[in-house]
Amino acid sequence: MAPTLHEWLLRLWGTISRRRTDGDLEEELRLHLELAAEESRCRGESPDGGERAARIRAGGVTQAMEACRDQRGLPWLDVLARGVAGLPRLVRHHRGYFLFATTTLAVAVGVNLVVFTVVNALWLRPLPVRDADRLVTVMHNALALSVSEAVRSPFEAVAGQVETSHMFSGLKPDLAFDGVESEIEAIGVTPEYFGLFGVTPRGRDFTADDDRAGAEPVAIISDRLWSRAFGRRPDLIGAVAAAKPFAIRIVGIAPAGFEGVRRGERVDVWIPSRLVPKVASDAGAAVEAGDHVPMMVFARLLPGQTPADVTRRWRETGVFPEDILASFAAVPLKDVFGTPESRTIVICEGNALAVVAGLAMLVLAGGCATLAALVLVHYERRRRELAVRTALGASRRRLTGELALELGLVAAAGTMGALMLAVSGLRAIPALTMPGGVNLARLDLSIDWRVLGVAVAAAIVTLAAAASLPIRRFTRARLAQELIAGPVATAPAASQRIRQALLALQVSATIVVLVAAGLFVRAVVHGFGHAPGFDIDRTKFVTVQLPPAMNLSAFRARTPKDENPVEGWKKATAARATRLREALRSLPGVAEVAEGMPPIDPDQAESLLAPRAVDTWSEHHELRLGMMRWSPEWLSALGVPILAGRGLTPADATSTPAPAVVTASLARMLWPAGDALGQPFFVKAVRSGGRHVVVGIARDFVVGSLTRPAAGVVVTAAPPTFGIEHHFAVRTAHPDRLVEPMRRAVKAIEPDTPRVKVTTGRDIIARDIGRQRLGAWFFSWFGLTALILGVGGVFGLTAYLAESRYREFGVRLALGATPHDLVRHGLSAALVPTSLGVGAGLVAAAVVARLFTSLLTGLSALDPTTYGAVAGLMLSCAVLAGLGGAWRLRRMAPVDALRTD
Amino acid sequence: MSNRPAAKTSVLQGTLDLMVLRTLDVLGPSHGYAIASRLEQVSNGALQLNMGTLYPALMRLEQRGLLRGTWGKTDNNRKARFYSLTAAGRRELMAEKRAWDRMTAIMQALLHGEA
Repeated sequence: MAPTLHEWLLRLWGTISRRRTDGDLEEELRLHLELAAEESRCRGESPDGGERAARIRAGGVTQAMEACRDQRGLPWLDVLARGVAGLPRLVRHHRGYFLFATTTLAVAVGVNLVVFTVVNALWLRPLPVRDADRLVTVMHNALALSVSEAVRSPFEAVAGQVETSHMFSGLKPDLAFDGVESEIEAIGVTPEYFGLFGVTPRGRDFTADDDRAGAEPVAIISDRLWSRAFGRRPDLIGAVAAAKPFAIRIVGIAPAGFEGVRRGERVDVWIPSRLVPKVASDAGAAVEAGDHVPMMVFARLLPGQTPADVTRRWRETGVFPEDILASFAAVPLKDVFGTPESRTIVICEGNALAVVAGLAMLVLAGGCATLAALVLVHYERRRRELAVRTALGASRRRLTGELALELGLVAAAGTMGALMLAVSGLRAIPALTMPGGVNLARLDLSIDWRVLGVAVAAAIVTLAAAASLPIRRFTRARLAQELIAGPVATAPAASQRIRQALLALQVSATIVVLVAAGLFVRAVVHGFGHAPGFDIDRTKFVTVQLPPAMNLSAFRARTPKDENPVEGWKKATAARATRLREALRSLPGVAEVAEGMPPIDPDQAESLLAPRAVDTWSEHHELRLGMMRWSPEWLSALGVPILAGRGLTPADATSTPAPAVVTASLARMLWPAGDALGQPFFVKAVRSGGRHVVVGIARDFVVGSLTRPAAGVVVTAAPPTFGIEHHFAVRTAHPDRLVEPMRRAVKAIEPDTPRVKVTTGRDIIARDIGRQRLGAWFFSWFGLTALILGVGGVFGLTAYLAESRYREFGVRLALGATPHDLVRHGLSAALVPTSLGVGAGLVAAAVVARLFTSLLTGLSALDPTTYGAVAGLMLSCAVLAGLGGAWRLRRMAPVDALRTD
Repeated sequence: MSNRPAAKTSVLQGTLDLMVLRTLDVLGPSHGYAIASRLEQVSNGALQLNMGTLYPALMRLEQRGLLRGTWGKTDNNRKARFYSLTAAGRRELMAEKRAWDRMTAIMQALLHGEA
């Protein structure tokens, strides 16, 4: 007979109202028992025997009551209602477990959520363009090649691989619409821009006519700006909008979600690139239309072509010399970050994504293992309570339901905690400075619900799996046996092995994450600590751009017809540079000023360190050499001491062969006999090449990048430099001072300068090892979480292992074992699986570390310090946890252990 | 009736409700113990209903409207809950009985008839 709706309603009512009370039920059942006993007595049984026979025939009242209760209402609803009512008491009673389990779950899921949300925003979220995988951007040395045609040329050279190219100015157009309070982010683009990305604006796209000189100012705006500032007015398309510095006709609206192609761009307005100099208020005037505009190039590769093919074709066509070509790289567009105000940064290399994602999963796995340990320990401790409740009639279904409710509470509270942690973390993260210039505030850091779903599901499955072990033991016979005879003797060997394997697995996962975090942090520390060979604390680097009036074309326009404008311009800009240098030198606390750029510049490392042919007449070498040609005081300004011979002098700038100071290691390599001074040598190079003679030997210092060691450095003297941009190396008496005074001193001499940049040696090192810092940033978070979860897991699982052997230890004590023996056993119970886990974890970490070896500057992927520290840390935790468990065992009385739980 | 108790038999799944309905049809309003005793007697002791089986079944049938339970007094003046068939219970009994007869005829033919 199938249950009817009437029955369901009655049972629902029975759950809510408990119409037939437990008292009525009990009375009815007791009558049954009494009548059965009377009948037994009538058959000749003794009074006691009659009652006993009746109980055997009719069963226990308590069990029958439980079955009737289940039938009276809806058992699951009843369990839920009773469970919810009893939860506050339960939580109070087991507050340590609930707090720790909830926190573990919140941290494991929350940190994963934060990290994956950042990873998603940085790397995974698809670009809002067609076939994003085929789009590349060109990273190039803008200082060496700031001329637009030079940047375009490589693409023309490989036209077979490029369908379209696009450029936009690196300048920041300063545009404001009347009535729009917020700042407008605008970029200048060529007419092919939207077409290249397969984006069709509402209204119309730019045309070649829009990019002509003298054309009417037009713009395409973003969907966001259309909503925010113009209330999505359809008549805006084609209308002239009042704006500063001039009115502009809005010809189109970009599709919703398209706000630029590089991650980090949040463009409001696109304007034709020819318009940029007219609206760029600061640097704009320095740039005459189409001349010396810093460019950015995008291209769509033909199917089947890769960015590496582009680089190879450039090399084959031979458009540029090798050392200049070395500064070019085609990078997949999806792997870069950039804003209109900043340069493009490569944010994804090699296996970085896989490593980060893998480690995040390990953190989650570690969290789950810790959670499983907590659940196991918790129910091991409640075994006696559950046995008593079973004996009192609680059905297995009821107990399972209650446990499911408890676990549900932990899961719900943990998920809430994870969400709170993630929301507050994601709010705080944009305020952190991410290494390498990546501004997280510009990324869409909305929570990825899929990640939350997967992480919470993994945690719930873990909870359920961990809880299934004790639940399977809720058989009446087993619990009754435990109640009568005390807890079941030592867990079976197979069960013990599973627990030990769980501990080993947890330790392994923690070790891998901690080693990865440790290696990155040590690489960063090493990067700062590793002697770059010059004084990074007391050397500052100043870059000054002369005012627009000093442009060659502006100067040419002012020069009388009978004079050579180029010579005059060279002299004038050199004189300005000298004045600037004197102004900097006159500042109190300045020890030396030289014209020259920083020796370390990751963007120029490839071109600075391109392989060069070096001839010492007796031998020929092919070396990665740093060729530096700056004013004679450059080495002194860097604080690089001359070990032998002399330093450079102004007269050396014009001498032939060029007097050169070489670094000590290069001198040893080229002239092993130690007679380097006075030796001639020839270097084949486009710039700074030719015949040289060694006049001095300097201490080794790094050129290019700390990550790419060179064979050595050759420093020669240059005459005073000319040009629109000047670089100075300034050595100060005290670290980290004078940055503002230097800026003021330059402004006092060149009030119209559009750009004064003062960087410290530390800034330069920080940028050079930006990728390592980015890695360290990620892995430190992982590492911290893994540490918390790992330590918690080791303590929890060790406690569980000790708990499950409590009775065994009681037997051992009864048989004559000493407390000392028990401590030894307790310790070995923790140390053996932990040691196995440490061993396996170290091997796994070594394999994982090989994936990012290239990012570990100056550090081996098998760095013994890191591996040793992490292994020591985990083993120490195991010893402490083991001692904690053993301490309790030490005070155990054998009778107690054997009689009670 | 033999003095030797018959081997215990477990209740065939799905038949308990029919047994209870039929017992009440024969006995009229009865309390739980009377029902259990009657079933034990009819089965010659082979069917000993546990309270945990009988009382949830009585409650279920009552919830389905097939039985009505009322508190009353036994012959010894003890308070007991008496169950009686409702009209729906009688109809259900008839229907279940017909279904059972049909099924036993089939089983009889299957097990003892000519193949």
